[in-house]
Amino acid sequence: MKHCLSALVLFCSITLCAGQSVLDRKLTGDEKGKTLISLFTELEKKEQVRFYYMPDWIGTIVLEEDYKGLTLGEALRALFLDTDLGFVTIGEHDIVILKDPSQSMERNAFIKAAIKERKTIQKVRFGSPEDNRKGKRVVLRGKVINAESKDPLVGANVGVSDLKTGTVTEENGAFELKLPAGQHVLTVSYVNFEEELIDLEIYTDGEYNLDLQEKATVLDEIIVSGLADRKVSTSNLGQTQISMREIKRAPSFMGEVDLIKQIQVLPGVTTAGEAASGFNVRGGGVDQNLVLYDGMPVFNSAHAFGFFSSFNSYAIRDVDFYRGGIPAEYGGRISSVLNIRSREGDPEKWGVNGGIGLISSNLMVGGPIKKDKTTVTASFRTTYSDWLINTIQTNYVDLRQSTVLFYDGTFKLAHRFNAKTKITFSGYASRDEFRLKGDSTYQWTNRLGSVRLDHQFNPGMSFDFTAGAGTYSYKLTDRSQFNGFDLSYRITYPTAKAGFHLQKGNHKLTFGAEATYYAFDPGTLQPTTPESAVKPVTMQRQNSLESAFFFGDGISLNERLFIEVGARISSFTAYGPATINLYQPGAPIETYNKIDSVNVPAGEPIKTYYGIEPRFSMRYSLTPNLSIKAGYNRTYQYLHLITNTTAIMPIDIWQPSGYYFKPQHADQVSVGLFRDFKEKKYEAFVEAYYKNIENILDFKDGANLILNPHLETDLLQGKGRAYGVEFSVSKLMGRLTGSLNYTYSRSLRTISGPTERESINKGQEYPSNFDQPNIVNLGWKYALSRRHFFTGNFTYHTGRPVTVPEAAFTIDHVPVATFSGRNQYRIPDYHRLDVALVVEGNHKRKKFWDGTWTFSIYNLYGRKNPYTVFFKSSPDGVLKPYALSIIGTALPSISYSFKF
Amino acid sequence: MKKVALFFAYLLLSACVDPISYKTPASEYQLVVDGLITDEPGPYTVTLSLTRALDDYTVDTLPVNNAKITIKSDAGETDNLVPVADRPGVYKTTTIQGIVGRSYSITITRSEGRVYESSSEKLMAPGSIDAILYEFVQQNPVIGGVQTIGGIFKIFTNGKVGTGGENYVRWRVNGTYKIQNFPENRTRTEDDTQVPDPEPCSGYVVQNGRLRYVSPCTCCYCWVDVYGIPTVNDTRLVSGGALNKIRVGTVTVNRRTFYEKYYVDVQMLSMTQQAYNFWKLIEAQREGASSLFQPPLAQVKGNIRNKENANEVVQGYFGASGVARKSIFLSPKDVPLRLPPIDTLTNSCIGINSTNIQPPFWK
Repeated sequence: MKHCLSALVLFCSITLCAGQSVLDRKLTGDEKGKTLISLFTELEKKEQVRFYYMPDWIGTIVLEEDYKGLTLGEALRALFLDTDLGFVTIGEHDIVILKDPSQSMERNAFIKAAIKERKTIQKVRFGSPEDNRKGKRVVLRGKVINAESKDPLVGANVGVSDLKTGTVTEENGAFELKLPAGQHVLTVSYVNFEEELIDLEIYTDGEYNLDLQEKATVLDEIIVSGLADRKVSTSNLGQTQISMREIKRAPSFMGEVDLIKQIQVLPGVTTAGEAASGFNVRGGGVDQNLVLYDGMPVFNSAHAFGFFSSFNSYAIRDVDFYRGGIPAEYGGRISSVLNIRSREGDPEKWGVNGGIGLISSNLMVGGPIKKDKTTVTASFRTTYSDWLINTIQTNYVDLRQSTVLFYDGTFKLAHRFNAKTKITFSGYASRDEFRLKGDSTYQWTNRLGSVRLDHQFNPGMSFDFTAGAGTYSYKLTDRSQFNGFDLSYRITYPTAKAGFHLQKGNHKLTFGAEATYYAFDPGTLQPTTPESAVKPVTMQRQNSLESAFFFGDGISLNERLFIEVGARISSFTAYGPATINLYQPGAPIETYNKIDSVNVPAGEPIKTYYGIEPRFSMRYSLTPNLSIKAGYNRTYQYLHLITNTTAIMPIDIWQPSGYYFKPQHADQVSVGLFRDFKEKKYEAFVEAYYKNIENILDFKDGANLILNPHLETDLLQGKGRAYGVEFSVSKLMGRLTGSLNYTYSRSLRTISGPTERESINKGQEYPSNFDQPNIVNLGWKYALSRRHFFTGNFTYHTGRPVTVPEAAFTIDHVPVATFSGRNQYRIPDYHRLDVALVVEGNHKRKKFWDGTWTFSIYNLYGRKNPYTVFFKSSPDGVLKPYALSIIGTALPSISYSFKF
Repeated sequence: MKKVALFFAYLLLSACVDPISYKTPASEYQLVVDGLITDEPGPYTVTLSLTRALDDYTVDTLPVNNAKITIKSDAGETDNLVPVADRPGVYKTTTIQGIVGRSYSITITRSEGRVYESSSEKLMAPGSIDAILYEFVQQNPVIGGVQTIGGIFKIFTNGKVGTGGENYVRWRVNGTYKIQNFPENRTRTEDDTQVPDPEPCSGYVVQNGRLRYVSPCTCCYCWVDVYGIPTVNDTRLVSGGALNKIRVGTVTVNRRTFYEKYYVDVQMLSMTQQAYNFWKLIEAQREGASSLFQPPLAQVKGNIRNKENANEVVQGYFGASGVARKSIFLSPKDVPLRLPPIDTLTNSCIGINSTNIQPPFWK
């Protein structure tokens, strides 16, 4: 503050030199005892001068001393010393009292810098000082729009540079700023778009829409994050926007650009290893992440058992990831939300995008059907890795005739009825097939279709409605003559969601409702040959309905304090037809204690659960560069992933809550400190959290999970808790950018039942499968030139817990290993360094063809990171631990992407 | 899943498997009980031993001697077991005969006074084995850099599960084959040259630097016993209790195992659900080994506990089973390959699971 004040003095004295003003008027001494306001009023009467001020700011200031002989300027400086007040003169007759004197300095500095950089500055004026004599605050509303596509830019940063505050645009691109009347500089930015500066003079409420031009250097049109400016000035704790552009410049695994892999290096996020596309957030399971694609939940986000994620990054517009501070409009999973929005076609011209990699190729076409009205886009990605498998030299005959196939496709049609109403159809499909000759074929499929209506009633109110349906299914086929079978599994889930967004005064309200109906077909087993000994089994369909009402309000209480409060009221009902097994009361739930079963008729509720999920988060700006954020949220999850492996497998089962399984719910409190340094060149934050989870599921030793008509006998519910601290430092500007983060976290479970078989580790707390206390991630990008980038990342995490054999014995001539308690040991620590060289095409704005080469080396120093520890018979027949490393060497790859 | 693991391992060309060692606490040796009563004629044996550390490169068990063992039935029978001569840690019954439908339990008192007991195990009705089927699959693994010729026989059975039980079965597929060794050809190195050094049991001695026959060889021909990996079936998933071509085991085919012929003995043991849970975990250990997606393995919990101290970990199982069995001989003629003649091993053929006494079923 001192620094600012002295700068102000300098500034003022320059102004004073320029012209004589009332500030030079000497005080007489009879002002003593008056309030400053009355002095100003007197002076306004006597002289041709006008003071602009907020009565609240100076209402309490009394001239207690004798200022005789001092000029008015000197007196004010003395009075404002050690306060955050200051003043500037505008012209010769107007004196403005400012709360933060650095404002005008900042404003001038910004304008000067902008002129120097030859940026265009738009001058915008609303009203005149006469319209706002009382220093009342004014409201500026508007929309930020992509100049080319006319799409609203969501999450664009609208910064008030002189006040170091700002806001980000809403879902429909709208923003609202409450400002002290006067002059300001607005900086409107969005990554990969040209920044716009607005020299704003505002004295009345106003509305201003602005179009942002895409930067000429953008190759991939995919839009990005306002991450840089947002950490300090947005309230959401643990929220990250992911830049698709940055993802594409990061080193990739076998040349495949992968969204989920990028999520896995964020603070607080870990993964079980390469073959695990799922991710673990703050000690949660892979099933506890809500993955939304254009508003529809996705059950399996992996291709090829998890080596790749099932989203084509070229088809993604932007991504929001919440690991804490989950807004009330999202629910149904307890750990995180990954909200993926797909791209729309270009409304003005047709374009083609594509990529060629070692494993797969993709193509995307999009353009207008009717210019500026209707656009369409479609993408397709498929693998051709068969040749790779078939060229592998191996003694396993089977392998050469195996196939692995995956594809994913997207489709999006958008029609704009007028500036206020838009309808969007979105479709997504992904499929995997993996076959071993003469053996089993695994297939899994995701299909999603949705329609979304957006309508803007007025600048402060908008509405959106999404309806759609999704299916996730898998099939395991065995064609052998005597044991041939088909095992199939399917989830069908029609869903609908409506939301209203209201902006009024300093409130930003969101409320709405959603409902999803789930039909689970948990498995049918069918013989495939007449000779097959397999007995057909059809598990009963499980029907359930999940619904929720939500409301949230973001309130800017003042410039420094922003709070977001909300709640979600969710309910879940399991419906018949169903057969419920009943067990002897008081005895362990085991098949041999089954006494009876009851049939619940179709449509009749079996059990209903309710959840009230309060959500709260707040931001308090201690200084313009430092803010403190805190949050609490409760989340309910009604679907459980039943698995006994650590990664998501295609043959895992999702089990709805019902008669025996209670919904999981988690309470998380988190608090963080965010700060930026040196004009936002650097940014740092520390965030701590504590999470308590109830009714977490784990399996009994040796549980059989597939086609089990009495799963309740093989699963146990207990408690979990997780806590941790996340540290992060980033450099956001300059030739070298990058970030370093460190997380210390624990994830623990306690499953304590009345008997030993109903407990795990005798009811003592044990580390969960995802307990990885120390995690370090370092990522960087160095611009060798405007078109050449050297990028890399390093990751380290503690090995995850495992159960290992401790001793051996022999029974009936069979050597047997005796195992430790569950998760009492760890696999060795994981660390890996990847580097990439990205060569982009020339950066001319108009060109026909644009291509980018990416050369990358995954696992540069060839670390053999164990993916898992497994147990193999040693020569003496006893199981001994071995570590399996999936990637044992450095893995170079090359990929090419193009656009025309 | 095993193949999936292999597939991806190879897909990535560079996957690798390395042994890893864990420092496990030097745990107290735990008591291991291995006992089974069946509906076949007795005597039945119970073996007591102690667990061994994983790093011990030996399969020798540490026997537990001087224990008092009693088997009781719910029909009021009691039998005190007696030690078997020359087999430390092995005890046998004297009078009791397993009967379908009765339940049996065991009580063990160790010499230092600790008392253990098992849960009560019901002897379930045996099923029946109608046929043993086999299919040859050629595999020519490279062993020590040399391509070998051979393969496996997959062993299947047709049969029926027992009635009235819980329909849990365990398959025991044991094998016996005859080998020939050439212990008279053993040599040792002396001053950089190989000099004859026949095994004494070969019947040859060295005289004037030459081999001389003195008595018949007692370690040239042996019968080797092979114990298969236990397979369990939850036959509730099988329609009508009929078992059609159930895979129960594997026979390794090479020039040693098919030197003369191979005896396959398939036993189908009925058991309780608790015993099924126990054996299923053992099967999972044996079968799940080397799978990338191996389910996390767990403690194999038996049915024996210390009467006074529930915290003492006791391994093993005392079970009761109805037994159905069938055996066949597989001969080199069944192998659609010409196997090379047996290699000339020059050690004594007698060893663990390998004896020079011709078994009674070998004709």
